Amino acid sequence: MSRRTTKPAGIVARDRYRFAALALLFLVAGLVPGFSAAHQQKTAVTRILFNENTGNIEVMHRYFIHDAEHAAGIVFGASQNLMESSLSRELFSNYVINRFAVTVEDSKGGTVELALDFVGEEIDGQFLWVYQEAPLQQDLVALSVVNVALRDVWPEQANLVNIEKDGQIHSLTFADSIESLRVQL
Amino acid sequence: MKKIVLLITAISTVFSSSLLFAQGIQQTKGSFQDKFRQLDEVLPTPNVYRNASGQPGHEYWQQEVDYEIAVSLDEDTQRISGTETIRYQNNSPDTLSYLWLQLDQNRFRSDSMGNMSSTFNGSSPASNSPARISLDQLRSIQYMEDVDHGYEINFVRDGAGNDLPHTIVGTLMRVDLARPLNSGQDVEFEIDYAYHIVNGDVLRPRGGYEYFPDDENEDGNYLFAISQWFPRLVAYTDYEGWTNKEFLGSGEFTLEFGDYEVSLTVPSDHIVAATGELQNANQVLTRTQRDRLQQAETADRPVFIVTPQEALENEREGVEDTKTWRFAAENVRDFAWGSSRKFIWDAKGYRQAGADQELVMAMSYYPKEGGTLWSDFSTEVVIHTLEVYSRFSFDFPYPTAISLNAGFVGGMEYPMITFNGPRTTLQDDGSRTYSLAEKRFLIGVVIHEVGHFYFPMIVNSDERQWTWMDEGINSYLDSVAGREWDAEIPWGVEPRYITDYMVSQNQVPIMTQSDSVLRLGPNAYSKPATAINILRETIMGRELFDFAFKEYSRQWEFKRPTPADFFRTMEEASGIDLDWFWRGWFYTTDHVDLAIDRVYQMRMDTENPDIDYSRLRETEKALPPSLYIERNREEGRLTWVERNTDVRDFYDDNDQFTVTNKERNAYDSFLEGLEDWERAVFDRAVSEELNYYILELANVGGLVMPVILQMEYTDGSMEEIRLPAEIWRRNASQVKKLIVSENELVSIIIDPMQETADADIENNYYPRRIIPSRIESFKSESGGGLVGRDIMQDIKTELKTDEDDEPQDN
Repeated sequence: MSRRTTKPAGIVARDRYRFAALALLFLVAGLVPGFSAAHQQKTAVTRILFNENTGNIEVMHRYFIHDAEHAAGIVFGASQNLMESSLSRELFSNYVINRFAVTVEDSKGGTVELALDFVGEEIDGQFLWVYQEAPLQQDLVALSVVNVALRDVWPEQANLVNIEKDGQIHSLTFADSIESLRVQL
Repeated sequence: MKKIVLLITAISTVFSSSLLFAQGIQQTKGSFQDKFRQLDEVLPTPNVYRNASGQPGHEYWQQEVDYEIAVSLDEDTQRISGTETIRYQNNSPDTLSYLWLQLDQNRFRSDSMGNMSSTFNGSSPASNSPARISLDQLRSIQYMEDVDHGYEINFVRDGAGNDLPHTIVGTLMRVDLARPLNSGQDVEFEIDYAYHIVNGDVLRPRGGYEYFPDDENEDGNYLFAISQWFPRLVAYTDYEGWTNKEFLGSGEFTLEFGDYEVSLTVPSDHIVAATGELQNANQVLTRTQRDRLQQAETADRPVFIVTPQEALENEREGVEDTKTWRFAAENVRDFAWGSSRKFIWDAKGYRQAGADQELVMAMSYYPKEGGTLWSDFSTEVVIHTLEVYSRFSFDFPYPTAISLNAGFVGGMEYPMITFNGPRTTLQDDGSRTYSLAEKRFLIGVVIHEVGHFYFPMIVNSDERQWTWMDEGINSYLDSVAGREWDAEIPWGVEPRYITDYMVSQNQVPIMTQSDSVLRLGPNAYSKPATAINILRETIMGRELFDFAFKEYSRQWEFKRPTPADFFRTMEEASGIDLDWFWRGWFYTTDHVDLAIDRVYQMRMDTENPDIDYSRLRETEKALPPSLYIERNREEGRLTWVERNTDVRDFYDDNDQFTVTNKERNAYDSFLEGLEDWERAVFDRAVSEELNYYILELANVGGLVMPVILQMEYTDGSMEEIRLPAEIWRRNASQVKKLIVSENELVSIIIDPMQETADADIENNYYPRRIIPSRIESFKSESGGGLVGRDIMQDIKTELKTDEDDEPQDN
């Protein structure tokens, strides 16, 4: 099976969400080992690159394989083997891209959510990378990013997003209760 | 007269734009930033306790605290209760009228500062959609409401049985002494206390209990991994006095060394693992178990002291009676233990020839949920870690080294004992399997936590103040041990992995107090580990680094170093000025990004007109012809001169590069005017016909680093030139460097092995190359390389033959 599908199939396995009454929506998260003590992980990095060479906005998510594997196991139930199973990787990629969105703002104040194509995923060292891209927008003054990947599994997850444009780096950190951040470019 | 003929452009001095802010020192003219300024104002003043070489000073002191503890573990109520007798030896020059103790369990009180100051980390999206909180978080809130956590201090009494006044301040307790404790004196006092052990599954503490409701035992079974379980003395130091900063949950501990005698009363079917040596094996172990322990001392592979079958049998039902296990540990800074009827136990002796502690028993304790992942690897990894770390520091001084499996912990360290989390997965067919990622995690986490036996359990740095001193140094060494375990496994300290963090805007310097660090993982673990990796491989070289690092480890074995002691020792023992390195990597948030902006070539004038003029003529000829004249030619348009060839004069046969005797005479008098040595230098330079290149280098990231150049020449040869970081000392943003070479240059690459954490690779090439982004590379490799293939599945694929001619679906 090819891992380079162009569109996500959506969340394939069950997302075990339950809804409570009133204004609280409960997310079910199973027990996961805490790394908060002497062995610290639970961090992910996403690069958003304005790539003039390809004419694309490229989105590259980097996760620790071990974190991602536990998260995938919690979200999709059965044990997931990210290094051995391409199906597990696809499930995890789908999970990630459904929890990440970029909205662009033009100079007239118009906003549109980027239609990010799924490019694929790969393993490099300790990391699982998930790739997305969309054509470059010419008139663009700001970005709003939503990133809740893994943060619905364990709240201590911190996601760093670096936006690289014209030699400048703008950083967004998704931690605590932050889900959406805007940056003026 | 023009005597110096090399056309070397003077290096201009362009100052960078930021100001120097050092305590008491300011650059108030211009904007020069001295990246090499010595750390004089930054480091504490050396004194008799810590000297200027980074060694313990001639009057170095530290307190000693000895404990006698006797507690009972009540499995049904998950409660610990008992008494401790503390002997406090005041080795400081000061008189103490009170002592501070750490009450870490108070961190789990619902009104603790840690709890009250934690911020909401559920989801709070846009105003018109509901906020979300996980059931996990909600469970912990309910649990904190339902169970009274924190210490119950029943009494604090002195040796004569008199109550001592004590005041509880959050996670701390001040005990007022009956009379001031003078330098050199000791005092004994007793504390009676109890607390509810924290449910590890709910709060994920460093120590707590794990409950297994699905075991055959109808009451379920418990696994206790117990730490921070007795009121411990706060460290009293020469650099901070009492290190009595509230425990907020993130910044860990610093403690005093001392001797421990501990009695642990637990259900009689439990197996207990603890810091130190078991004192009453005859009473708590069977003859068979004792025999197996003895066999294990010389075994090639770990020997089961309690086999998986015996453990399975043991966990089928509980008991009513208890047993008391007694342990003793000398010169340790803490004590932790684990207890469960579920434990499988294996052991293997590790021999250190010539060491004070020649035999170390490496042991692992794990429930059936650990499975073969644990029995195959845990104890072997413990021994491997001891071998590698001892080579870098000192012989392991303790008699035991334990890895214990507690599912709620990622990994946590104590003297001689570590708690590690990885587990197997139970499959539908009843088998237990584990993924490759889980296997790598087990090996990695056991190495890391056992590594902490050395840093900070023996080299006793202050984790609450400077987390990087144990986590960063240990993360570096765990990668050394990891790569010596299996070089094929990616261990994650390759410098390129840290660049995304180092370019990010949301970060604080490594030298930041632990509770204030924004992202502890990259700040206290990966970035300092990468820095130390670069220090060894790129800046100092292995020989100098290893000597200096060993010196640091030995000087501070069983003592309490601060960052300045580390920085100073590494410099003193290696003879390398590293102030710029500490400043850049530890005191700033600069990142590494060096660039080569321009290269130009120069040739030496010979001053001989017959050579130089003809070269100039060649240069002129090499210029492209006039486009206008070319087009006239193409149109067949002849010039007047071409149409009238019969009219010619001197200048039609002699161009401006024609040499006359006037120039030749001038050349002769130039040569005559040279001193003998000048003539020799000149003749040699002319005869060698070398190539002179000027490289324009830029420091975009701000962090000064050596410039590693890979030169490629026209004859195909390569050369590496390493320019020290000091090249940036007068101008940290732009410099020019002259390179003289016999060969003609084709291209230059900065940092070809990517050893310096250079964040932008594209500007490392001259001429520039387009570096594909990860996505571009991914697409050109048609998807992800070979690592993530499902080989176990793909290996079942049948080989296609010529007869299979249907189109393939890729």
